[in-house]
Amino acid sequence: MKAETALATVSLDVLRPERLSAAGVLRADGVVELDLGAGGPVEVDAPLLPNLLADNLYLGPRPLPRVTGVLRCEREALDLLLDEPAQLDALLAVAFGLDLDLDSAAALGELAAASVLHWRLRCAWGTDRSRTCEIVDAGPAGAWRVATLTDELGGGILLAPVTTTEIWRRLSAALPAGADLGDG
Amino acid sequence: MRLVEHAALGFALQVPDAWQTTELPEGLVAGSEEMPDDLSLPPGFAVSLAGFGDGDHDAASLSEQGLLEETRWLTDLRLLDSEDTELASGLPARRTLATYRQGVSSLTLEQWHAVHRGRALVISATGPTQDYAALHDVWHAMAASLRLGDEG
Repeated sequence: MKAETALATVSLDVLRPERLSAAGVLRADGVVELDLGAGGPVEVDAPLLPNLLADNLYLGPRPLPRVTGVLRCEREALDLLLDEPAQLDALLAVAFGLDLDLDSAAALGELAAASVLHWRLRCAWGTDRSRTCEIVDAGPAGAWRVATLTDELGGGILLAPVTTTEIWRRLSAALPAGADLGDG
Repeated sequence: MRLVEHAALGFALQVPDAWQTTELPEGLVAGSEEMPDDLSLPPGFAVSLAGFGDGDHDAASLSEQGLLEETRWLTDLRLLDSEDTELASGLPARRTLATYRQGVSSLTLEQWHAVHRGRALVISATGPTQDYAALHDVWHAMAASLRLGDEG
């Protein structure tokens, strides 16, 4: 393998159903090298990274969960929701408060009952630039985007229903473009 | 954006100012002449309005038939999204999003299928996946701007 300068790092973490991590780099020759664990690193031309991810993350049509607005909670509440669905009622009351409408409670109930693929893609470059896409894909129960709030914004996470179209938008723009890297 | 009309088929839509348009008997093609970084295909957007072959169709069956045909000639076509939506004047439509490979490039294909006055209305947009974040807004604005006349 040629020694190439890394323009960006790429990490794919699968958080559920089992923890798996794949680390990689975007090389200066426009190739992404990603270690998916089985059979050694995979090399893919950068434009094809979204397709590789779509294949490995089983992207496809999902219904959009019916939720009013964006839900905010602590990350621990999401963990409990996904890992301890039997405690759903108590969790919803504590984590989301009394303002949770019936549609949102029902959608979270479907999420808690579903088998989920929970993953996070992060691409980072420069000294402090990055893009992150975190998704809880509950298949027939729809997909949710998770956004982590900084301490300045009060911490915790935002949970929002997401279409695969929006996921594709984010995957297509995950890697830094020339302008991000100072070319444009 | 500027308004482009297809007088014979009786529809009009807004297209980006810098895009070229070509009127064809069965529809209209609009596209950028600017080559993408990966030298795959410049973004394109086509609207066609044509008669069916045999049988009755609705938006969903047109969409499924279209995807089935595309799997035959597009490499590694993957359906990403599918939803029932509306085009101009509340016309029921099926929107699909798919991706396929062309050499070392990834292309994204977004389509709307509908039935208008007994004919198949197909909007088909293609462009490099790496530009999809920006193209999404352009394509959706173009699709939303489509106006269908009573004639044609």
